[in-house]
Amino acid sequence: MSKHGTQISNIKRMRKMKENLQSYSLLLPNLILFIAFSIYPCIWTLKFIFYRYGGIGTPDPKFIGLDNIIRVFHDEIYWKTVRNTLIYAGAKIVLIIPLAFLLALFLNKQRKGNGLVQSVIFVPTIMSSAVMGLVFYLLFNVYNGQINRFLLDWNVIKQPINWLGTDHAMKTLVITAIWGGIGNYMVYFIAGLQRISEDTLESARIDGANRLQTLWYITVPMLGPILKIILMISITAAFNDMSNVMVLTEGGPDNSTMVMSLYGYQFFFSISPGSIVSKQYGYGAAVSAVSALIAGGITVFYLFVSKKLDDVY
Amino acid sequence: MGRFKRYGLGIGIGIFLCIMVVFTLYPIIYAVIGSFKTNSELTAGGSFFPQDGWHLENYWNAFIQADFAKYTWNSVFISISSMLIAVITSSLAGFVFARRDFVGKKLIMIFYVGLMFVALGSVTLYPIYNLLMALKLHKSVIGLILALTGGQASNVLLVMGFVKSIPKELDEAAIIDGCTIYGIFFKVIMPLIKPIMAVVALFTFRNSWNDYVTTLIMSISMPNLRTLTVAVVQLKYSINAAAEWHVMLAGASIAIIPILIVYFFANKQFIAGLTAGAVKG
Amino acid sequence: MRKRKLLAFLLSVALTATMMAGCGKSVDKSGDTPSTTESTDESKTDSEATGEKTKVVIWSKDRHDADLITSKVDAYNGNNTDNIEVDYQIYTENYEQAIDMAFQSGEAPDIIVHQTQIFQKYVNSGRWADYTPYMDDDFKATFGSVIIPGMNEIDGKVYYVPTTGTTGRLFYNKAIFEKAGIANPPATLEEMVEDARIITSKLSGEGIYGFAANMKSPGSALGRSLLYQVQRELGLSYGYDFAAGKYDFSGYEPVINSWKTLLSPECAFPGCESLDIDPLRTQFADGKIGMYISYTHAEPGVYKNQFPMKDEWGVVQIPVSDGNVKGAQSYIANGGYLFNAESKNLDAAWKAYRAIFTDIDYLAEYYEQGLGISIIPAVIEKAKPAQVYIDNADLLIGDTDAIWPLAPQEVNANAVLVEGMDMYATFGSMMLGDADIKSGLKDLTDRYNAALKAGIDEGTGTEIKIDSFNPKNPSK
Repeated sequence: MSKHGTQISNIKRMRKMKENLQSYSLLLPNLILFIAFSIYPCIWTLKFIFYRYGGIGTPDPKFIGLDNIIRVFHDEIYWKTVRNTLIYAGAKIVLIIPLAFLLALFLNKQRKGNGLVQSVIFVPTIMSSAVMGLVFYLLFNVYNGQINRFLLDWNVIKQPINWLGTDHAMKTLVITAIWGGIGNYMVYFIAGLQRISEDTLESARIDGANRLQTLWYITVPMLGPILKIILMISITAAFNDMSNVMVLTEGGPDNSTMVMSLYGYQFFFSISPGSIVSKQYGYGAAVSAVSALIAGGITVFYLFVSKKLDDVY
Repeated sequence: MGRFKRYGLGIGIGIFLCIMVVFTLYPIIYAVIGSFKTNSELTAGGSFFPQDGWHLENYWNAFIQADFAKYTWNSVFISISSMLIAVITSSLAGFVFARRDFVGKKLIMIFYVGLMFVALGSVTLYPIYNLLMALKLHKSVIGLILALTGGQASNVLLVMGFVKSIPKELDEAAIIDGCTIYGIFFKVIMPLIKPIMAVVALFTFRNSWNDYVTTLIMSISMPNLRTLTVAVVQLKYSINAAAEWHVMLAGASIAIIPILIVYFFANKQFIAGLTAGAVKG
Repeated sequence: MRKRKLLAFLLSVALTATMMAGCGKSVDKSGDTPSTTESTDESKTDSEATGEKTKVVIWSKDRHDADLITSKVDAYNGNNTDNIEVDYQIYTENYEQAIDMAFQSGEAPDIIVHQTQIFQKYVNSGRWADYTPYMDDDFKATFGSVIIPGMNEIDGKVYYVPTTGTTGRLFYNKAIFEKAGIANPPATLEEMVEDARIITSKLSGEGIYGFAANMKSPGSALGRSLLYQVQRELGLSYGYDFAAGKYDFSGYEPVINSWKTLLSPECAFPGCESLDIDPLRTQFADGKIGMYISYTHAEPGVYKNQFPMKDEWGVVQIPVSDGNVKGAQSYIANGGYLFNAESKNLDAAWKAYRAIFTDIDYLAEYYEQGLGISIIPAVIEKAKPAQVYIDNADLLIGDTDAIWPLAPQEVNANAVLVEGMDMYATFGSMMLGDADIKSGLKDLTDRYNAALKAGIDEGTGTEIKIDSFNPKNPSK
């Protein structure tokens, strides 16, 4: 290669380097945050899966191999919380998606008042689920809750319903979760509906399709792609819900509303001052890692299935 | 016949919407009205409206005795700060990812996308606290703000998607005009991605304002830095004295109202933002 | 239009903020307003500025006595001649966690209000300072009776002295008992179940029920009731048999069965499984609950101040089967102060503590105001206790109460890591659900003994076995 050529390639390399540096200078602020608050905690968790540690004031962390993981698989309560989480997520999604879809369908049209109703339905999504958990406690408790009083006064029920008792607490939790989340999903659906052009619907109608037929043969299939995203978001969200459970039921009674995320949390921090679970960082890390695998696995499985469905249709 | 059916459907829809509106508003109105009741009236149940007068002093109690004035200021300061950090850092990073090729980009992208599927949840708070302690930030408001802002992978990807939809010719024209990468960002891209920046801003503000668990843990060693949300919920756990539900509800109302006002002015933006997020995926 | 306005607004906010950040270190300064006064830093600047004041930081978990204590602290700060300034901080929630974090980061305060778990957690690693070098004769004379080996005296070192005590008792509503035609409060467990049943069957139409417990958190509900009841009933503490040196829950069966009845619809206030203690108290104050079991130190104040009660309440010892008491009941010794061994101001801390918190007049005032039940003889002698203590002698710590040795998991919570549900959660599911009691208790015994053995093998736990252990006199 000639001298001239190396010079050019040197210049090129210099320029490349400069461009890299420039890129990184813009990326860096976020990258630092990302490494500190996303990557580092993951590495820490992965490491502590293999350790036993009870925090300061207790013996130093001790390497115990796979003991924590083995314990997770033998932990009956943990698997109960997995079942609870699946029930919670399943019920929430099954109820919230059709309701949100109906709301979107009815509110999508440019009619007077629709915008207002839309805004009202969206309000809960901007509120703290922890603060509202307190309010829901006042509404749902069995001895003086407003809900029971209302139902009794209107003779809907004869006996007060124990909304926060073992049998009903999960249902109550799902109701409050629907309250807090429905606005989000309604808006997603409206976004999807607005992407369907009026012309398509119009031509279907001209072809003699009635409302129900247009809905079923045109609107729903055309919503397909966005529905996939909505379901995906709802799955991840449902698996991460925690602060509403923490405030409303603290996972009780008798662990009937204990979800995976809260179960892992209690090995690091107390849920309430009355809790007597001792701190077990290693085991908590193992519980959280297995939970993350379960949640991630379900999401990936869903993506896989929805891809497959795409191929079929 | 057809007409009758149509009216029937209309009435059905109307009833459904009414039920949903009542379902949505009832808990909020109950909380606000409850904040004017006495503690014993609240805890003993009773009717929807206060029976023995409207107790405005609950708010006075909340603001003065329970220090809610301070917590409100904390909430405002912390939420706005974390909003600014999130907007600035995520739009810069989103821009770089969308427009530049650099060494290690693929690898970094894999982490950003991949970690969206790994939800370790609140467990990460413990290592984060330790990290802040090592950096001597655990006793300062900065640590709390940074922890609340977090890694923001999803915000970065959101901005990235938005930048990608802007025609590349604009950048190229700017390069010909002699703009550096910084010039391109500030002069060309930033004005165009304002909508998505507003989305990131609003959502970060909402999350910081409402966050309970992260703020709770990060403020344990500095109770003076608590936000409204944490302060309200913690009233439930007063160990020796009885819980003061009236003050708690007054606090809840104080926490609810500012975010409602923000929403009132920006509800179109909120909804547009969510839409952008969903469509871009 | 609106969109644009909002953007303009957001941008201007962003701009002002960046400008603020641009002006030197203003971010730090604006952060100062909400940030907590950093004790160490401040003491430094203080001493630099005036060159003399020594700052003593105290952390407390209590709010109920805050008025009295802060007034005493303020007076001391104004008067003391040693140039000591006491900074009294209250951490009601997450107290334990806050202390953990403070120790971890080396910023623990000089003095910490005693709490059993915290004390136990750190005592073995030498985090607490020993009182003995500081104790003068006067101090020994006043507090000698509450320095008890195994509790606050370990290997000859004294780490705190308690001044008040609390324990569990049965509280009942006299008017409800009268209305239901029951003459006396229950003296036996059988009577207690029967009374609860009578009240519920006669009065549930009026919304009045026989019994309640705050079972939302079984640990909180049973830790204030069943723990003491079993000490009296079986002579076991936390299921641990000190004579045999192992756990044995098999004897719990009759008590758990009685609780199951007490919490069933035929006796109990509806919704006990989701009840917190405060809602329970409001319902009791409202005359809806016949009886419940709780701590003696808290309830009198609650029904006087927080939830004023119309009906008259009474208090008796926790009933046991056939009234056959086999053991003394433990009590929680409160009002002690732990000293951080790493504190640089130990001398000043002791001076402040001695002047403020060991003053007999202060302790008498504390007792008279009903803030805590004194266990210091000199104070009891001097104080004129509130009328409520005179009327209800069972509120006081008496002959039937004693300090118990610590069960293994009390000594070190991490030495007995039980797989599966802990004892209270297990009891809770037996009482409220349909878990089989006999086999469940067998399983619980096995799991606790296995955990104990694992802890001992690990080196974290120690074997605790007391020959000739007498549950009626457990501290000997």
